[in-house]
Amino acid sequence: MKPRRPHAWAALVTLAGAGAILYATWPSGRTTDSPGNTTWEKAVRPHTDHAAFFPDPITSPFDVTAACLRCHPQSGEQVLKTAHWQWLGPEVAVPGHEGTHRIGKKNLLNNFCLSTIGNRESCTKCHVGYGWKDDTFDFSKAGNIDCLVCHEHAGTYVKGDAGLPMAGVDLRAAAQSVGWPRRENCSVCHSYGGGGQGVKHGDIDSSLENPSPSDDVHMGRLGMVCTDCHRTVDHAIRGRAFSVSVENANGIACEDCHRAPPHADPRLNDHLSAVACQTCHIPTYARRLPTKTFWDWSKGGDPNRPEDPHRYLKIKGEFVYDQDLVPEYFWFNRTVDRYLLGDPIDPEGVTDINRPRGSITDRAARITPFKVHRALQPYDRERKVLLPPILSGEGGFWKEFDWNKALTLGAEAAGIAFSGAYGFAKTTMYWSLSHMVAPAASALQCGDCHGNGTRLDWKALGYDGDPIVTGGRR
Amino acid sequence: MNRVVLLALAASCVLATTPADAAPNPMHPQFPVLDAAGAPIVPGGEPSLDRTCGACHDATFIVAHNPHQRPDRSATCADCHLEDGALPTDPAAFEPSGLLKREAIRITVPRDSDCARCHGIIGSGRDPVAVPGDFEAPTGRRTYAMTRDTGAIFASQLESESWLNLADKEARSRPFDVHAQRLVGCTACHFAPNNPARTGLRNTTLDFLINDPRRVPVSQFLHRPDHDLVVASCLSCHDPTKTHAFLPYRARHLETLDCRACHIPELAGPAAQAIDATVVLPGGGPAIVYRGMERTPGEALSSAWQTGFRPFLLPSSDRTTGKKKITPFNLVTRWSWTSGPTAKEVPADLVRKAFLNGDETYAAEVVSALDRNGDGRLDPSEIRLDTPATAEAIRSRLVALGVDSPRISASIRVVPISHGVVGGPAVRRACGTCHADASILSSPIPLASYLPGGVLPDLPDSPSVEIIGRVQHTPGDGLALQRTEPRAFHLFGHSVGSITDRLGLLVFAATALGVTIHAFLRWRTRRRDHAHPAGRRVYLYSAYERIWHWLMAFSVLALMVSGFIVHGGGSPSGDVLAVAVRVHNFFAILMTVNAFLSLFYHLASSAIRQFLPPKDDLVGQVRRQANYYLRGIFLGQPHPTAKTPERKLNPLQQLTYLGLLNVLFPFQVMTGILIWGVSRWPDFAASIGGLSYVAPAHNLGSWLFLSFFVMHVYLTTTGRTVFSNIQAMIDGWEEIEDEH
Repeated sequence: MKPRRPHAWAALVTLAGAGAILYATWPSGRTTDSPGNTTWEKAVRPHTDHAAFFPDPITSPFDVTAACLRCHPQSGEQVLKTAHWQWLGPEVAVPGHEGTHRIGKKNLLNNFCLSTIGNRESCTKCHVGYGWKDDTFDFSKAGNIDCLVCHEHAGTYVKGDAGLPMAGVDLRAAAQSVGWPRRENCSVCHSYGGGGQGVKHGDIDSSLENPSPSDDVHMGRLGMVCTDCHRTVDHAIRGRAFSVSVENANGIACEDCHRAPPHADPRLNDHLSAVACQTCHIPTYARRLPTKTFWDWSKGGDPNRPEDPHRYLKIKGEFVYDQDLVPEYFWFNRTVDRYLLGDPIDPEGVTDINRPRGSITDRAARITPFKVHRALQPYDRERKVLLPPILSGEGGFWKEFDWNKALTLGAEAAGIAFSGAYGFAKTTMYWSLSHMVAPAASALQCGDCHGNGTRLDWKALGYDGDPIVTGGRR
Repeated sequence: MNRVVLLALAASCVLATTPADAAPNPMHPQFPVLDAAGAPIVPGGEPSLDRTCGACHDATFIVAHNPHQRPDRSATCADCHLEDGALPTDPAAFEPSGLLKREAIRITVPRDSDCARCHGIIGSGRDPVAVPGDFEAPTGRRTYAMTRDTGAIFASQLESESWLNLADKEARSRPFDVHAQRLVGCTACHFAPNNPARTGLRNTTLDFLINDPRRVPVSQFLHRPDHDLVVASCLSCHDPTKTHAFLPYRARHLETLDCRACHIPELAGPAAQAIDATVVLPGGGPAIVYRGMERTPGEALSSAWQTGFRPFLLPSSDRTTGKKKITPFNLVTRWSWTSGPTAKEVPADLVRKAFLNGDETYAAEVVSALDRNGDGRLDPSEIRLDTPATAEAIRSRLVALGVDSPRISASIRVVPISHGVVGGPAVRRACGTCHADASILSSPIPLASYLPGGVLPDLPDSPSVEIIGRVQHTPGDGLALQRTEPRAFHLFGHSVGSITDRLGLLVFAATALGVTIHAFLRWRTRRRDHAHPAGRRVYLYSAYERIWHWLMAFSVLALMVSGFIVHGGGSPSGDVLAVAVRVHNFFAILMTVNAFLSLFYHLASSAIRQFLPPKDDLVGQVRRQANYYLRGIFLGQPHPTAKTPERKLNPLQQLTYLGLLNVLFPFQVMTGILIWGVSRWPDFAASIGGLSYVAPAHNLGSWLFLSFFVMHVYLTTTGRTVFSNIQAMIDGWEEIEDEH
């Protein structure tokens, strides 16, 4: 008898044979270890050449904005909601304070140039708007937005006081050159915060505009730009700066791309619950260019002392720059305690402006590297609060070198009382590090922290001793 | 004395405010420093470690059980246990009571840096690893022996972060030693055998006990620590059966190879190949040629181009079990001046005197004897005694210095390698390293690039290491050890060309040739008008018969192909061998199961009768069938045996299949199981002579199977038409010629 459907039989046998071969040859055990990673592909950013849209010379920056908004009307509304525009974050609960607050560059103190209150005209050089020199600035008007600072590719656009472009800037060339924000666009403000190259962040300076792979592996080797991590939808830029924020909503994590498990070695993956990625992968910061680590305002105003932008300036006082720094490490659950205007201080001690929160018992906290900036800044001797001085504004210290006047005017502008007696108190500010990621081969090794390593102060972190001997916190 | 008291008082005030646990030695009691007479030392006195430490620790016992304290090389208590390497004698370090202050001294279990004081290069912290300047002429007790003899650098640093000039350095993101990287230091593996914290578990033969808690108390250990250190084996911490799942034949690999054979694939430090102590270099040391290094003479070792040293794998008896395992070694050949009837080595300073003047320049006589290019100076490449004249020149100078009958002698030292361990992707994984024609297990070992005095060294005489071979000259005045394989040695992929291999190849070649000639002749004698008489379409082969046939055919084909790869198809790619083994194992099982099922079917039904040849006139029938194939088929004669559903096989076929299925097939299966069993039942395998007998037998069987395969496929073309037989085996139907 001839079997029915011989071709079906043949197909069945062939499939069975193929299945048998696959089963036999399927590699058992991992021959290569490939940690989980999403493959990153360089984003294709469509570029419309805007040269044809600006045929005539432009004299007023507001004309540029108006032109932008004619074709991109939603962009204006979107930017008006952002912290880059308002210099305030959303309504949040600040630990240690009642109620909710909107805080940001507009109303917070730091220990660099201390406060933008009353100093708007010069501070707003880095505001994404035109004309904010005092409280009369209209935050609801999209026409005041500065599109060029983030979008121009000409490289010749420079902002001056009140955020207006400096005289001589070719606005037409800038407008014609607009496109997606490059590293230079972000760097022009973020690298020079605090009044100079690399002063503030420690892990952001202009060396990241064109870095080598050892400077930063994402930007140097992979060619990523800021917006590849700080993804932006409708002008809402992802990412959190703990200098002006107290929580991590819409923040960025390494795990967004580097999926678990990130290491082939299970011993390294064991560290993930207690150690942040940045701890091992940012062994040093400010590698190429120095950053400011100490700022003593009390020494300012001395006319006889020779000036040196890295050591002493009459308007600013005495400071220390350092380079190739080893970070300081703290437990961090991505929230901070924030000093707000009017909070009391202990003048004998050290006031933390934005102390990272977390502890060895906090499951959400991981050991994270920080740049710590220490300063001596003015405070009210009687009322025991930190004071925001006027610096560049009218009657400010930078013009008249009179602390009393500067602090009186500053307190008034900020709406707090000043007793008239001032001193200088010690403060610290903590900048978490996420840039200048070193290549994997340069990451910290076991002996950098454990054994004879000196990076981590185990007792200060709450361990009994070196956890390689005493065990981890679980 | 008053000053001392004042200083001590001042210091003790500081001490009073220092919390106890800030002291470096919270546990070790304070002690006085004693001189050789046993009295507390006076300022300027000489402390005696034997007396000082020996006040509590039994110094006599320690010295007697301490290979580190010998006449030629000795380490003192201070060298290993004290941070500064010596007891302090400064009066400021003492309290008024005469006891040494706690913070004046740091006593520890030896740290890596203490061992490295003598032994080798270690790395510390993030300072890039480099070869120290005194590496070739170390002073004092320092020898750098670990690094110089093996090339191992015990550092946690990644090789790509070091100062060394390594080839392909960017990609070498492996640590110099993975144990150093993980802070498993020297004392983790080298420790006192009576340390209860390390060797606490007592062996017990009583089966109702898993643990005997009675053991040496810590105090007894501290009183008499046995310094004859044990060396932990890998297995005291690692269980290789929990990993290595990627390895086919895993048990066999773990049994035959020492862990280090794969886990020390390459050393990045300078490993000596030949030490020429017959000469003296300007620095005062001997001339050393390093392996894996391209170095212009005199170039600094850190900047010399290093391609790395791949250790030589030699069978060596395991220290504890006595089993032979393949272990990595370095062979260091040393040429030196020896004298007297006992061939005692001439002291180094005498050799130095023979070469150098008092001011460390070469003696004029030496320069004139060794200067080859006549420029009046000695270049580093000229400082060698590889001609009779140069050797004689130095010899006579030694005689003048009073040496009794000096001559150059050479010896080879076999040095085991245990450091430089790696894990992860750097480990040797490519099967083709060993399982290939040019196997690392049999490659020649270079010994030297020139011969001082023309003296050849003998083969090293090591009781545990097995070296079979000959020392031979290589082109360009060099020397190498050509290895020959031991007798009972079979390595898949490498051991080809045995007698069974050749015999099998011969049979296959003959079969292939015969088949080709037969086919050619048939083609030549084909008849165009030869119309086959019309026949009936008969259903010959049931579905099951066809399934088991094709399953068998496919399995045999897969087994032959994969078996050929395993045997040594010449593929150097690593993973192909592993895949081939898996395929082979799978189809072996499949085919055996298929065969047994088929046997059952044939026995349980009447189908077995197909295979039983007719009893009457068997010889005649066979003869007739043979004649048909040898002659009749060319003449167009009909088949002598009619094919019917009751009788599908002619007598020749029946005999062939009987032999194939009942002799060759079981033989092949049994030898195959035995080969697999070498990994599963190693003791049994050893008792039957191991792979060296079983594997060649299996190999011969496979050649016979291959020959059968060729013949069988060819003979299927001898049906009514060329393809009618194979078509029948596919769909079961065949047109049979009517009975004649």
